[in-house]
Amino acid sequence: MPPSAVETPAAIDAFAGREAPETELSLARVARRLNRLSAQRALYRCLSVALFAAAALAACAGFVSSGEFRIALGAAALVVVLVLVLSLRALRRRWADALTAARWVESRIPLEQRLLTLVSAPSANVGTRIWPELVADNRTQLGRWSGQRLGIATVPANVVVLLLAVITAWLFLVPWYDADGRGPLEIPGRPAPEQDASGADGGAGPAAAAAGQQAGYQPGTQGGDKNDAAQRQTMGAKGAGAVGALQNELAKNFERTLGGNAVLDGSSGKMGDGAEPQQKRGNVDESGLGKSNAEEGGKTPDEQLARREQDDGTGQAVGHENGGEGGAAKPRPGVGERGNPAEAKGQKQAKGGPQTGGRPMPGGDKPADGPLAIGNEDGRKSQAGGAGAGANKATTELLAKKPLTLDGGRQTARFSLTLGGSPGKAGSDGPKSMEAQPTSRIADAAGGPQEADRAVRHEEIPAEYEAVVKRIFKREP
Amino acid sequence: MSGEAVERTGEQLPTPAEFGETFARLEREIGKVVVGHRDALRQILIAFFAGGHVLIEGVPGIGKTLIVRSLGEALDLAFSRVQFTIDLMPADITGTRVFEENEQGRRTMTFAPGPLFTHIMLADEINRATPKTQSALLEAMAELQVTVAGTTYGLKLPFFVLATLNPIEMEGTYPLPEAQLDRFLFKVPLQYPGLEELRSIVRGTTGAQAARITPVFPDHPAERINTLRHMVREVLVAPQVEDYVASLVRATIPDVTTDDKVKTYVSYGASPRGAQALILGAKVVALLAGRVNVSFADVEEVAIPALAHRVVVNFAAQSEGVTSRSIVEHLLETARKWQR
Repeated sequence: MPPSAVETPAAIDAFAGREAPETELSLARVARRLNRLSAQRALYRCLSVALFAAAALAACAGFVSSGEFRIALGAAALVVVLVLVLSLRALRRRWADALTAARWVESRIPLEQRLLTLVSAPSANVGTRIWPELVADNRTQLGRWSGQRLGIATVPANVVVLLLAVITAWLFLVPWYDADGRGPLEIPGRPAPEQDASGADGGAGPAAAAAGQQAGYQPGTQGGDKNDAAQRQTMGAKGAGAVGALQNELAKNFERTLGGNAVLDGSSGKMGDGAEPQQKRGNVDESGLGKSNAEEGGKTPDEQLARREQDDGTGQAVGHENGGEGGAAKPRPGVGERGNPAEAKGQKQAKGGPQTGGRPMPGGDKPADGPLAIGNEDGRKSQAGGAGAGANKATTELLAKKPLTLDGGRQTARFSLTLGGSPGKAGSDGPKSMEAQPTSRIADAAGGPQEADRAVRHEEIPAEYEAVVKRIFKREP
Repeated sequence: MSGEAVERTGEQLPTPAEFGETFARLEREIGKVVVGHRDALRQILIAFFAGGHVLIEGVPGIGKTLIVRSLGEALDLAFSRVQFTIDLMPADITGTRVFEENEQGRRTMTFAPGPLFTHIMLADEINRATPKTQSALLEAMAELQVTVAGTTYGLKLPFFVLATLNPIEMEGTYPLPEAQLDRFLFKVPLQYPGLEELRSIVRGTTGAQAARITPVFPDHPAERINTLRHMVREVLVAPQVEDYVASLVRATIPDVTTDDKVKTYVSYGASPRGAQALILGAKVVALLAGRVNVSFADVEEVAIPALAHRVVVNFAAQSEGVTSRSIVEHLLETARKWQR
């Protein structure tokens, strides 16, 4: 059996009473260095694990559901706590006393067990006649090791791991990537500071261009569409800015009437939705709507809101371009439930409740699914309008055949309705809870474009848009 | 070692430097007569100051008796030599009670001490005596006393036995059993001298003038030697070194060791006397190095003479040429890895 494995009952931690103060001081310095190094090692290990865990969580946040994220968060916390506990145990086990320090010195400087004997000899030997010889011998040998670091590193080797962890965490947690004005993990649609600034300065062109870029940013993730983005960019700043303003007004109108937000942009709703060029979509006007900012609300439809919509159908419903009033549509609950194709004519109650991530149907002959079709193309009153809280419903009945752009281009629109309050309270609080903003992560993601739109909210509407705006916002059909 | 004087209470204790100087003077004086055998002589002196006895193994005419006699002369101690033969009786070495007539004509039984009652004794070819005689000697070696006719007599200190073994002409001999071999602190083999050493031997022993040995201690040599021996006992040993020695000794025992070579080739391992021999020998080595503490290297230096004759190899080892010395060397090599 190795000697180190043998327990030595005479191993003495205390150095006191050994009559060697100089050696004791030097040995205490070595012990302090060893302990500091061990503490650093433990600290760096814990920090590294924590940073790696945070980076991993940030990385997976964009790909997993909230439930999975909670599991990942718990697992990461467990790992961090486990490493912390193990590190503390290792630190306690490696905590250097005088004997450990003496062993360390002996392993570095060949003292022929002089120091080890001085520290660990049984206390009965301290008073022997030969003990002063040993103390004097160790005092003589003190110059060989007292002033040296004895191979005790200032910084432990795992500082490299810590640096890697810091870099990894910086890559995943800090918005450093500025190619399009936003960080790599920043939720698409959230405006970069530069964009906000440019929008605030009243530059319609850059702001709108930025909005178009936002729409095209990260295609296939949350409504990005390269083609749409390209299209938006080719529209030019002028038109896009006007559309943005129009969108803003439209959103305000929706907020006033429905307590939700209407977002008009060129993005399609879901990954892959925009893969097909706009020109191939045919004549069917559809708005590819992806995840709505009302996704949370879509899970628990606010029936009061629907009833309110029905009740207010006489005068407070949204007036659309053809004057279709909001009807008594009743949203159908269900997360992920795919809505039925909207009634194109809008004469019936729109089917399909709030839908999360419903697949749009680009290029089809039928209107895409959506919460409801507001109004109809004939301009008659429609019973189809309502407070469909979900997205992904064809809003083409409202906007399809009435181009919103002056240059004759067709503009798709996305309507997202934000229901205030938490899902659980939506039914009970009713309109009061609508003042609150959704707190979910997805809702925040959808709130990005809305915030971006505020930048262009103050844009002046070009004169040529005035007629369009008036036609849209007039109350009477 | 710092040469500074250290105040001590009580008996004046020599410093390690003084011990080393005395040891070196002894080596020089004996070396005037004994040519070569420097390592063997060093080991013999180490065992002497450690308070043990030495078994010297060598062919005849190699200088065994010369070494012992030279040691006695250099130390100025009483010296006796006994040629062990098959008809040697215990009383021949321990002494016996004899009738003695006093001046008044009264006859009384008095004890006539044998050759054991000396400081240095040479037991030449000890394996030629009967076990009974051998055991009488070994009792004296271990207990430093002899018992004759119910009366115990103490031996003079220092008492040092140098026994020799003749590895040839084994017919009619009584090899020492392992229990008796264990009583010797060291077993020192004497090798044939080299060419230069042989030339020096011829030149020094065939001339008109023989070399003379000057005693190291001019007065009270026994007391001085006992003081030095006591100093050896006071040398400090760290618990880690003690653990090392204990581990080394236990590693020679085939029943408890994990070493495959020991398990394969060793019948019996070293006894606790082996550990005592290691520590005592290492203490002397430490003093010779100017230290008052034992190091791992000190233990390794005396490991082979202290353990080799205590490790009994089996028939497989003998048939394959594996000696107990090679076993100990193997264990030392393994032990160095433990230390690292």
